[in-house]
Amino acid sequence: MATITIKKGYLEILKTFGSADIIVEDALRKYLIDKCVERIEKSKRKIEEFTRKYDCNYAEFIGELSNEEGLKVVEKKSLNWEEDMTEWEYWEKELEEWKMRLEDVLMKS
Amino acid sequence: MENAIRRRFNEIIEDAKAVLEDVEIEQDYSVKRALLKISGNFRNLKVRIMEVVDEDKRKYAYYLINKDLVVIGFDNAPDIKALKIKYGKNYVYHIEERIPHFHGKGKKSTEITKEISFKEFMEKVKSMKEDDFV
Repeated sequence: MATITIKKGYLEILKTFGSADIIVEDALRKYLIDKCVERIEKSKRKIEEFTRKYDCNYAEFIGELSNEEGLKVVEKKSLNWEEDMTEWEYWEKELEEWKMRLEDVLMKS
Repeated sequence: MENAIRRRFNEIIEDAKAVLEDVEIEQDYSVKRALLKISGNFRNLKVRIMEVVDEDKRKYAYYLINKDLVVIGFDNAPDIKALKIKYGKNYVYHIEERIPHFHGKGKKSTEITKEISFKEFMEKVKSMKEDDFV
């Protein structure tokens, strides 16, 4: 458990609705769920752009890059695919991690 | 970690604004990684910058593009052309290894390099002659 400082004025108002601890915990949980969902949706949107551009998923894209023929196909679609690869990998990792964080928050409720 | 990355990205942004025109910036900061994308114009050419810090690992791609032609490019993607130069037939055992390298005009040549910074990339671009751009 960690201690968080909140304004005294807020605390007074919170108390009128019940246990301040429970209300703050609940508000934080809702905030975290919103933020996780926001990040998951952003990651999905970004991944979708690459999926459309290269007409494949990330694993297939990486597979293409591992051989000469596949590389030629990718380079026809984008000469500087290295930029896309780096960003695509970024959003794939983000998607997986934010899904896990969301699951974690939901499990703790 | 995040403050150090923000400082580094801000430095790159300031440097980019000083040498490029019509600069467009996209940034993302998350728990374990951060991303910076910049595009801008240098003379009549497009400069594209990608910089990612992923759990302390640096990933970058700096490209100078003339319409549909790569004029020069530096990046550290696991490019099989670069991996073959370094490892020969054994490149297959290093297929995911990031390797700093350079691409010449039209990506017709590839050379292994040291890791480079945005400043070093722009120094190279500024040292080029107009004839090198087409």
